[in-house]
Amino acid sequence: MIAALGSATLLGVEGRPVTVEVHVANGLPAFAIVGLPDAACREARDRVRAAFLSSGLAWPMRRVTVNLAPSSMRKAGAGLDLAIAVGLLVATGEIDGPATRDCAFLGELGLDGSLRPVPGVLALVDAAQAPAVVCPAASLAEARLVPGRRVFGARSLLEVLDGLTGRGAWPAPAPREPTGATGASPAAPAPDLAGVRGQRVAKRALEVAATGAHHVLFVGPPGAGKTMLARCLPGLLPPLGGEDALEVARVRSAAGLPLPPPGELGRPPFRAPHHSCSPVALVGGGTTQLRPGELSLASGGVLFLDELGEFPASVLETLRQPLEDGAVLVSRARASTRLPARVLLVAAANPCPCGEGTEPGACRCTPAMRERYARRLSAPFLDRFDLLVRVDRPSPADLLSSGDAEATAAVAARVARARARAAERGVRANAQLSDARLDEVAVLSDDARGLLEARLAGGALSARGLARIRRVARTLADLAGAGDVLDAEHVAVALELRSARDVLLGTRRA
Amino acid sequence: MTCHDALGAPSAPADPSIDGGRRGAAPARALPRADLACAVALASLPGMGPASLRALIADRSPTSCWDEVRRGVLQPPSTEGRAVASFRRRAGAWREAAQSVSPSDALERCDALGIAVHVIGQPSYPSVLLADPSPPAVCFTIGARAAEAGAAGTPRVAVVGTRSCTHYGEEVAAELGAGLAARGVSVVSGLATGIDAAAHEGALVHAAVAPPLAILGCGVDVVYPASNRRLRSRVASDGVLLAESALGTPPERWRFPARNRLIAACADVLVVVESHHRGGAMHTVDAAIARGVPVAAVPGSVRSAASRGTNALLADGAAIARDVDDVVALLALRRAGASGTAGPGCTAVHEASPQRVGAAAVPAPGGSIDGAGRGLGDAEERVRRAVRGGVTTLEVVLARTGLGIGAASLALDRLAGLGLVRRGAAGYEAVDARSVDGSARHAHDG
Repeated sequence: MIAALGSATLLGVEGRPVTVEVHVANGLPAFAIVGLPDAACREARDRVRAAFLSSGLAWPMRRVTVNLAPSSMRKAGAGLDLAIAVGLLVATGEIDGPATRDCAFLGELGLDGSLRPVPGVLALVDAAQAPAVVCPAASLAEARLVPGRRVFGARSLLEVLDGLTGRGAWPAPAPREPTGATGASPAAPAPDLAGVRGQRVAKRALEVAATGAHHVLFVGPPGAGKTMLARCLPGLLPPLGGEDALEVARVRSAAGLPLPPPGELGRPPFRAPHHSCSPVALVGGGTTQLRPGELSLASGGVLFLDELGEFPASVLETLRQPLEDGAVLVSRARASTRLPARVLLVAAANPCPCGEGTEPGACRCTPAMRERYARRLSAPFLDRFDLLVRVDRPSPADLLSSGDAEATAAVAARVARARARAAERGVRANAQLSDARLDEVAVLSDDARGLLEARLAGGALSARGLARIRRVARTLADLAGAGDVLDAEHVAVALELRSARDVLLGTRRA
Repeated sequence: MTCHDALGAPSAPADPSIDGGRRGAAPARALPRADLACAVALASLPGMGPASLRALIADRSPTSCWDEVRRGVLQPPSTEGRAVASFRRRAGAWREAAQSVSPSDALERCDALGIAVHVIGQPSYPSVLLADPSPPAVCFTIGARAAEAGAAGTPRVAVVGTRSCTHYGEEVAAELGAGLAARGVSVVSGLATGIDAAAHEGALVHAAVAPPLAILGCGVDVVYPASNRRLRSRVASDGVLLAESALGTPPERWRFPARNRLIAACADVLVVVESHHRGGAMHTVDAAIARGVPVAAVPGSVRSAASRGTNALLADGAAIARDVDDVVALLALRRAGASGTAGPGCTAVHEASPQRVGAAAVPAPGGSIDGAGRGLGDAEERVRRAVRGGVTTLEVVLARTGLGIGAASLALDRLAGLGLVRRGAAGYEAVDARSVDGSARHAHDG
């Protein structure tokens, strides 16, 4: 007897459909899995057999061959266990063939016959080419996020058997368990901008960053509040729409992380990898199983690199291309896949190793130390940032002042309005405006042109810097509700919001 | 005219009245072949300059004009006594010369040499020259890409300089030429030896991306200087040669300033690589300033005579050109301005008053200081007080003045431009007012 069932395997954050064929024939008792299974996949043999016996099902004492098609693609993980087990039940006549025809099966089997969740259920359900999917009960909520599929959850192999033969009903989805596998631990609430005292320039930079998707780098001494400012940024971003929210969930699911509760799926993610993190952990990859990195986990939201100067230069270099393309392309000999990397990058850096370099006379670093530090933050990498803003410790007056600062919600409303203007131009945000489009939508007024010409004549501006200034000035004009022509004021502020570059590089050209 | 005068008080465009109405009104159309032939013949008459020719064919077809010249019935355009006398003298010479010229032969000679003839008002006429105050009435080009090189939308940078240049200047000119061409910028120069030749050599490396444009002072078929023979033929095949003089015109001294005006007219930005204090490149600079074309100069050693002119330009407030990036930034800025969207970049600049043109062309640091005080506004005064007493960040300026970020940034920029505030990596710092006054007075004296 032969049976063929649908399932899927994970590559990066994408699912790839897999057909599991089970052939049971007379011959010496044997169990072979062919079709490029990886180690975890090949071990399905032992798990399925034990699950059969624990569940009181008869193990066929015949020659069993399992083929995972397409056989040229490498299959990873234990997610095919259930499909193999059900295929075996169909091939031995326990289940009628037609009952499984339009159904795909996902899940790992325990030795006791229980059904365990696997990472990436969201992507796997998406990829499985069947209108109905059976998955572990613990992943049910996640699987239901995929539109247009009937999804059944089961806790064990026996429940799957009962459901398919009609002997028992599919178990109803369990009510959310407070600490269940799908329930994230309640995320720390994002700080509110109203709680940040002073720092009007840095707050303005955050608003501009959120509006135009301009990467922003804060430069300042320790204790200035750079981290707190960065944490405020996700709250300023507009909530993610359906497809974007699903992508965030898909990446988290593929990384094996719990999904946020349903009401918070649209919240832009915030990831803050430590500077000791490896290049692969940052951009994704890995030899045995392609795993999304922090960059992909932050896609659609904010990637925060604290202590930018402490990140090894090699790690930062790996970020450059993905930041440009909005995606990581992972190519392996056998397969290549695309991981999302559409992040808003926020970074914080000390001006120098001792951290006091912004204040004249306070720095204790030797010139050689400062030079080494500046070299690590190469000019091409700093060029990724449209906004380079100085953040200093708030003055005592600011700290003691009553909090009359704007709340996150008020700024977020302004951001949303300005983003709508960018959307009318056909781009998500102004950072994506091409140089050619700038000539149409970021025309310089005579005053603005005069101002830039003066800087240019002083050698304080390069061609690339000029385009960046114009993009930022465009965003400032959007926030002010201005038309296609940029005023000198917008350009002057855009220049100010880039002035910290001098601090880091010690050069005069923006 | 010294450089400082030239930059500070630009002269009005040479002849602003010239047949603007005709250019605006008549839609461009192809000329009949007979008209084209007569235009070529008219251009070849002795002493026929661009202004005379433009005036002659402004209100009649070249054919009827040629007919009048031959018959000697040409009417002087002005009734003023001396002008009439001078006109009659020249018309007599024209009539004499015209008897031995056959328009159709002249045109056929152009065809045989692969020379294209463009008469003003014709669709093939280089559109960039239309916006000029004194465009040539007829121009001749060699090269298949004349339309591309002469289109108003093509970015063009003129790279010019002295013929007796240093090795340094030659290298920089070639680097600029190659770098600009690689970025799609057409390099304009005069095909002289020295800087011009080096710029063309550089631009030819990437001629496939942007064709080099050489503007000649002699006839377009004349090889001058002889040492550039090979270079000239390479520019002819990969780029464009353009001249307004008739075929066979020898390189006469007076034609080179006229040629320089065409270089300035074609350029979006003028870069002077090396020039002596009173070198020919300075004529081009004057022409560029009159047209509102930004001027940039390559800095050189203070001991090098070849850099004396360019260093003086820098001292007078010309933009600095250290590398291709500097020039491209200036070009981007030029094309980014409000005039950039209206069509040809130069038109809007010319409509502005001469004062405005000067201001746009050269952002002189001390220029905004007016006679009475410094003309500081309330915001600027407040910001100036706020930055006294040590290095101050923008954040502190905001706290001390109560101004918004926009107003404070603008005020700081203005103050820095006036030299009242110094912008450093650590923040802003007030500059002692007395030293500023002193330097400002010095600048005015010079």
